[in-house]
Amino acid sequence: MFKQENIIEITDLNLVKHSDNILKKINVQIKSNGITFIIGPNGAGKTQLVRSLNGLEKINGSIKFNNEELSKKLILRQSFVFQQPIILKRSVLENLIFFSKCRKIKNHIKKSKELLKLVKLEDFLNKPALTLSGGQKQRLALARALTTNPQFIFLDEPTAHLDPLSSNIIEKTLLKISKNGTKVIFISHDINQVRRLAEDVIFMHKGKILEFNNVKRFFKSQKSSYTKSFIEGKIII
Amino acid sequence: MDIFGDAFSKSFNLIFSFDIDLIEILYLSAKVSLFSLLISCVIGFPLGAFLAIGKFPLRNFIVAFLNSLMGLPPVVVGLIVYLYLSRSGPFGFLGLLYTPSAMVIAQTILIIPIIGSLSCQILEDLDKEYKDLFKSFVIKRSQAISAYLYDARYSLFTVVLAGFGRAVSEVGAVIIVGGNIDHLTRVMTTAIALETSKGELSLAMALGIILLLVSLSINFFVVWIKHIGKVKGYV
Repeated sequence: MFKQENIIEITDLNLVKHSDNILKKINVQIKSNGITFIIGPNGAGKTQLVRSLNGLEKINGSIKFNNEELSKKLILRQSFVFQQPIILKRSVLENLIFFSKCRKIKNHIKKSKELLKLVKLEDFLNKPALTLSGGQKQRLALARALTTNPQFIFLDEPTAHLDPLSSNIIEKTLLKISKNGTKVIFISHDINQVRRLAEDVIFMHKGKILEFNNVKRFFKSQKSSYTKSFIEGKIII
Repeated sequence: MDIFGDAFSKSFNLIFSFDIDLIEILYLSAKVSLFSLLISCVIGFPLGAFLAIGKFPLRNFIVAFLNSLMGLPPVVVGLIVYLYLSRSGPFGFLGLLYTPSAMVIAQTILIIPIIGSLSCQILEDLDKEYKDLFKSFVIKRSQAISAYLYDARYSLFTVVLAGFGRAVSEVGAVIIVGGNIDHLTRVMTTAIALETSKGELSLAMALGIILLLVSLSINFFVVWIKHIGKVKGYV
């Protein structure tokens, strides 16, 4: 199968918010086509990094996707799944249709129904989305993120606090779209999930990338003592 | 108590005999209030949405100013509209003074701040909720505004009813610019004021009862709409 090139290049990325230096001179090049995980303790800057990649933060430095500087045109080829799913106050199907209509996607109703089937929500098409359970809402958010056929998708702890069924559906969907050429950047705290799905892993601590490696090498040996402690489940300060 | 009892019995007779004068007053009240409400919604909702999601200098000042306009004294509005529409005023040539149109203008000025300010507060909360999602999907401002207005429909409907309540119960402005002319600009509130001053309490009481019923109905309707929104899971 033809796979499109998905290179993310971050150079000297700095992010300052409310006088806090949240991201400190991040330099990384992500070339793999599989799922890249970003892990690290709370406050490490993982969320701010992916928000920056999606143009949600005003940054200093350079972010390039396939040698093209981040722009509105590029953001149109991206999607973001937030940790707390943001749900429109309308039906499940309408939650997808609004965005596909805005992007003028052809056969949007048929495609929306297919995506809802993919995340096992086909029985809830006309149900008010706010009445779904937490796991169902997150699956809806994932289906919605896929309505625009993104080349890059960023997920901020989408399976945190979810039941095994919802987590499983999300994981399977991500593996499927990843195989079809969508680059997935996934924030997680679940080490077992990282082992199951990751192609490569970024470890962050205090606004810096301490480790970036292929998943096998990442778990085999760690350059940083922080990474080692995190994997072993020890408290990192 | 006899006066009250007499007034009540006469007022019920008037209501249930479908008195033609009473119906005319009710019809004009509804027409003026609904028309001014419609114009206020057309101006107030986009204004509220623009202020809710807009980021520009003096935005906070304009929001605060709009909020303070909610408490505009109707007689002052009536006086200003009167000055503009009187023969010597800038719009005197239109000949609108002492017509239902002048009453619509005065009521519209009174309701726009209510619709604009309350919708701004509702849509601002929704914007906080949706902002990141819409930015991530690169949603245009016009598309965002239409989504906000649709998703906040249950809350905005209560704003509409609040505006209607203000319009239908307003007396100070419409009496100044309308003149309370029989068969032309006499509405419920101005008729109540006039009939009371004349000592004709039965018609005043009949109109008062209807006004109270309208007000109660609006409040029950607001509660019902909110309940429907919650039951359906859209609020």
